[in-house]
Amino acid sequence: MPLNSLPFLCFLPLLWIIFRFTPPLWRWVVLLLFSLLMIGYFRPWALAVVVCSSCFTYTAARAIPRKQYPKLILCVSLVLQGIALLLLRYVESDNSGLRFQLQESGFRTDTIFYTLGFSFYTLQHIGYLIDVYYGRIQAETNPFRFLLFSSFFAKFNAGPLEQPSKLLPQFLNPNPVQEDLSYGLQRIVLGLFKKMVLANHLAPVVERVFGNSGTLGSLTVMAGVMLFTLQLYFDFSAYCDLAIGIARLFGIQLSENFLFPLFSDSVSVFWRRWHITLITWFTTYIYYPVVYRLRTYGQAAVIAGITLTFLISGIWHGMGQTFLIWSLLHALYLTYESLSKHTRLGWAARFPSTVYRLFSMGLTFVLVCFSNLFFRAGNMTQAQHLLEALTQVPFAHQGLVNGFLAPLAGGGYQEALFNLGMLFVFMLVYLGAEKKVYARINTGGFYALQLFILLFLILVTGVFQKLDSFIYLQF
Amino acid sequence: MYRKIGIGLVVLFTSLWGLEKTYDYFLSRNMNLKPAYITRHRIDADVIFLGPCEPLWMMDPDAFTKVTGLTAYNLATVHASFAENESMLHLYLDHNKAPKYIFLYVTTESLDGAFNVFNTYAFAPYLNQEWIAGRVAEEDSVYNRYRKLPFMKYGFYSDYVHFGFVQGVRHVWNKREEPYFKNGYVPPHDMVWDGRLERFIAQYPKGRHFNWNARDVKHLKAILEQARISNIQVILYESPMLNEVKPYILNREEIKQKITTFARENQVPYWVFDTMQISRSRDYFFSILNTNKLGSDIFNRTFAAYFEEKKMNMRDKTRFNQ
Repeated sequence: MPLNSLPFLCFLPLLWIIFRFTPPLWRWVVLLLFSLLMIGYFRPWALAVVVCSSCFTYTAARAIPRKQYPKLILCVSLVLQGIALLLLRYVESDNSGLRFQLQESGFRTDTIFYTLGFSFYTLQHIGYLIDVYYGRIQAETNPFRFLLFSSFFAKFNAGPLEQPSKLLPQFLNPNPVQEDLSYGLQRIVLGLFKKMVLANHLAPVVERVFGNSGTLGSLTVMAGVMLFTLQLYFDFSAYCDLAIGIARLFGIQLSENFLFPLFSDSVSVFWRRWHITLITWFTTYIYYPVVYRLRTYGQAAVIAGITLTFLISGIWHGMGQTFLIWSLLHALYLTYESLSKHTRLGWAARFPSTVYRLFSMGLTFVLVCFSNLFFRAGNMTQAQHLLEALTQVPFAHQGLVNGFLAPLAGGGYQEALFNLGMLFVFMLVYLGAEKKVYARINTGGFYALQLFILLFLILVTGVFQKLDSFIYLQF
Repeated sequence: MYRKIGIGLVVLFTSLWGLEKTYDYFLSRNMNLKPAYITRHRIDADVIFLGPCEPLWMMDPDAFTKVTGLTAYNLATVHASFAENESMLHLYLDHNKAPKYIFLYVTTESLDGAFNVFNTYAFAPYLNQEWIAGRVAEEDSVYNRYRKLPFMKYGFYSDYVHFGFVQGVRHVWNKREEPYFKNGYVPPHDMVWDGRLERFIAQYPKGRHFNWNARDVKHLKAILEQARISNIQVILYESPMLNEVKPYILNREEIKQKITTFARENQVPYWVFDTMQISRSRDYFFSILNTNKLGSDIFNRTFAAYFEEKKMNMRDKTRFNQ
């Protein structure tokens, strides 16, 4: 059940009441039972997989400090989990054909694989085993608490990816205070606003561009690719707001995943602010070890680390060539930034700081958008069509309204253009006020006016259909 | 905090309730919306054209009147399923004299169930009418579950109502009583080729089988029954379809035969215009099933002349033969 579905949001207060009336030491059991119910009720296969995977990881982690061959246990566990993850990605890939064979054999592959949260908790399991091996944390003694770490409903589907050392202790005695409630409520409403008012309105606009790229002018395709970046941000950060807000209602603090990434002035800053928990995981468990191993090679070690990290990140997102190009583009951007650090500092000194910063922000946004063209394109043929469209005349010979706005709006009618205009106004107002909105919530105060204005806008202008279509659920 | 939440909720629900009433008022006074126009003005036409976008953009009541002398109104709406046609007809008959004839567009596509829908939001201001509320509940159960929450009857499909509301405010402000398209016909003046044929062929390179959707058939029958009670002659018709697409509709003849049988069983005529000359060239079309202005003008003249001819040949003075 998606976190923004009305049945879930209606059931949440009931769960919270049950949680509050349970003695603090047993509250984690309530969370565990509800998490398993949430997964198993809709996807029994997913429940079976998460239980098996957690049992395996728990047993391996317990065995590492006790047995004679800890390194062997670690390696076998990591290889098995890695193979499972690769196999999942391979089956999901449209090119593999395996999915169709399974479907023909009567398997409902959508039920087995999709929205499983598998790729998210597998990364957490791998990180956990490595941490236990290196003695950074002690292996969890309670298997059910470890199962809760894997299956906690607020973060199960798409993260944030949590460090076990941060999350596991919080399950011992969750005791939300009024400040948690106030914070949680405000984050939930903000998440719903971003999802239902911004991301869900952007979705059809983006689909029109990516679905009809062959007939569009270059400006329309450019706008569509940029709007996709905004959609991805609103959609995924909305999911994270919901996850963080819901967890906070139960006294659990999840990690932040976004920190105003659209205002980044370099790609490296962008990656410190976008999907933070994933990039932290990759940095900790791939980038640092690679750079450390190859430290004698100087700059080459950094480039190798960046390239490998993004290659694995690309595969984690999907097996297609488009994800490979997406990841290589980011590796290229970061390599260039790493090599040109001093040159860029020299440029920065020559221009007024505001001008240079604005230019850098614009350039970063364009570079990220360009890579997202491949991220969103379903396959190389579509990516090629989009690239070809980028070289076409700006308005496809039909003028500004019919050639540029109408394809985005879904028609040149006044109603379609009015809706597109309204969406742009909401987006611009929100992006302008975003830092202030978060700053207010983070003070710990309860801003009733802000909360009810957002609620009002959700109820009056939100999209209430296709609520379960968070983009990152597919990963 | 709890006090603030309590007060906030009261203010929120009150303002949503107020907004809902405001939308009720202005949407039902937006003369460009057909439900609003037909329920606030007596049209009392002799002939009604009913169906989805094909008749909306093809059937010109004025052209028909010019040839036949009968007053006509185009009641078709975009993407409308037979359930929506039935609801529109119900609203029309509630506020107007029953017409003598209804021309109802029926084709392989309109009976498939995948191409036309029940546009629930169009009936939101009329949910206080039991019949409409029942039809909405039947056709859109998810919407029906939430529509009783404050403003949700508009909020659920908000994309489709805000512009109508703004336009309604303008119409009230300007005391406007006539719609932009007075006879309901939307002439396809600036329509350019929409590429739907290419997309259809790309999606179904070997062609597509069309369904005989039981739900659509049920509502089609209900329209005929509604017309029978009101003593209206219904004539089913299919307008010209671009010949290029026909090879890709694999069971077109089979569905056409089914429609013919259906028409015979229900004792209504079924007129098919798919062999008209204009079907052979894209010069007369902007989409697979939609003629452009030139094509529409030719078709309207042909249609009206055909009607006159059939009327003259009537054996029974009150009913057409097939």
